Amino acid sequence: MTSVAALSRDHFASLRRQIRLLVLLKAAEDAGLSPIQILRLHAFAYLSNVLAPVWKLPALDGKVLKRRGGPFYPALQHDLDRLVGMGLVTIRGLDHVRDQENRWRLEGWYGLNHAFSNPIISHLATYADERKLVSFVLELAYAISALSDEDLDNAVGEDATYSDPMVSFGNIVDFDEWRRTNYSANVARKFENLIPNGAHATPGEMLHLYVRHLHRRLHGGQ
Amino acid sequence: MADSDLGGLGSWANSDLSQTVRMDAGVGADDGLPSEIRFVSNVAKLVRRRLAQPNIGQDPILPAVFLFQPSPPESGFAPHRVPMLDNGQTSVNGRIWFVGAGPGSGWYCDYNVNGDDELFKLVSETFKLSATPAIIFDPRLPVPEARFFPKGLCDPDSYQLVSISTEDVGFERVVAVIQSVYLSSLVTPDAQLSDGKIWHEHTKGWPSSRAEGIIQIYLKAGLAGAFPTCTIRHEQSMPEGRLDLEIEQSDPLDRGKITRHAILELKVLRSLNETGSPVTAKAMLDWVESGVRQAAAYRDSKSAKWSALLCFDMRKMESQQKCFDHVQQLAKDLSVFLRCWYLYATSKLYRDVVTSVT
Repeated sequence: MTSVAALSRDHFASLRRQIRLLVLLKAAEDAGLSPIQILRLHAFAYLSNVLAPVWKLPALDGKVLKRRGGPFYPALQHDLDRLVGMGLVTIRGLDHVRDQENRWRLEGWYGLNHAFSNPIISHLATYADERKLVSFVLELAYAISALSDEDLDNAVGEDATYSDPMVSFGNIVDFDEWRRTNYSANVARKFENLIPNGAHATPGEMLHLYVRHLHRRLHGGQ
Repeated sequence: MADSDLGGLGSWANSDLSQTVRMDAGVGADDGLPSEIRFVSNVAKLVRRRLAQPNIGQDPILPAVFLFQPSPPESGFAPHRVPMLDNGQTSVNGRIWFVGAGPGSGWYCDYNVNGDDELFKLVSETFKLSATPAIIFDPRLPVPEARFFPKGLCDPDSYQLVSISTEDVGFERVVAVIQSVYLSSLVTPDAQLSDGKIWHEHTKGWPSSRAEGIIQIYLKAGLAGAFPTCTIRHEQSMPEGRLDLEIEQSDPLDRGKITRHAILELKVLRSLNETGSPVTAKAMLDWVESGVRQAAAYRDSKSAKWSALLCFDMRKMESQQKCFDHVQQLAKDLSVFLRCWYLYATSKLYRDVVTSVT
């Protein structure tokens, strides 16, 4: 039997994910990436988890199933669908497509419905912790907006953590659940002391440099 | 902890990260600044970089309009997205751009209109963005110019020129910027934002223990707005200590080549601390002297062109520039500029001063 405490825990986790989704969609909009295609939104969510330590934030979800088509969070998708149902999020171009693993999945482009989402997003800004999250996710959105649509689709496959050859497809990429090894955040933080003439990169600069290097790797660089 | 590779880089272990840094250092270093300042700064840096490209002569001689609107609205135009817009590889002229505060990307629509009036109408009537902050870069002038319209093109007479060239960041220009920030945001508690109060209890004259950090934030934003093609860095650690602010500018073609214009050391002078207990005059004299030495040491370490000690006097009595009397010779010997601003604990005190007839 499900306990009241477990229900409450699940409800709280769902609420956190819904807030994260609104923050992600708002950031995508501010970076010129809205509406955002479903798998790109999941990729953005993944990067917001794996790079959170750069901003001294915990990951909302410290693990993800490694799929050939890139990360996909079923619980997050469920909450996204709920937000659509509540009228906070809009979806267009709704369709069903086969993914790289020959499974049917939903396709669509998501954006905010401002009439209903703006009051919630404005209210989030009254909490210091949420402001910090918003500033991080926004900076990350600015950083990934430097990638073309095609690069965005392939970005996570080249990410330092997701591309770990020790984790094969169908297994769990764990960077903040049972394990504490987060190659992506390590790389981003390594940029701090590489700025010419001894300057130190800001956290924002570290995110941008990480994505710029990801771009180089996507195009054959090392 | 079971992990044996906590600091590892995984499959990126052999990556040449330094090449990426040489290509893109400074991108995103303006995180945390107000979005409108970032918009202006990133457009200014983009235009400067574009102007430095060897193929700039092939660009159309038509204005570029940058609208502070990250995504284009629905219109009859087919917009194009340009990722990595900041690399200066894309011609900006003859286009209406839709950009956010970040440097990463933008959307554009080519326009074909007869004259500036039609261009303004295109923005206001077709895109319905007449009240959106905008920058117009005009390459038709003998010296190309960028104008920032903070209220949008619906108010064409309200604009500010935006520097798009390599800056001459001299001490007096920096002082003028700080004077402006001082008068708009620091001089009295009423001028300060609710989240940025530098007094713990202003009626008692007790400065906040966070005063230096808050002043630094105000100055960083002001300097970033005034020198849009520069990068303003704060709290940079080095063997000699931790500097407060530095103004640097990267080469428009090679971001790895950086000119360090200035190092600014900030000190708050107190006669009382946050709990109201007194701070001795001797401690403040030593504080100022240490500031002069820090400014010189950081400048030399960073190979900056010049450095200054900037004091913000929160003591009970205004001393104008006399707080530097004991370090004038030292500052001269070490080539450190000095300047002090007095922060009034109440608006009434400030009013009394500005309305007094001498």
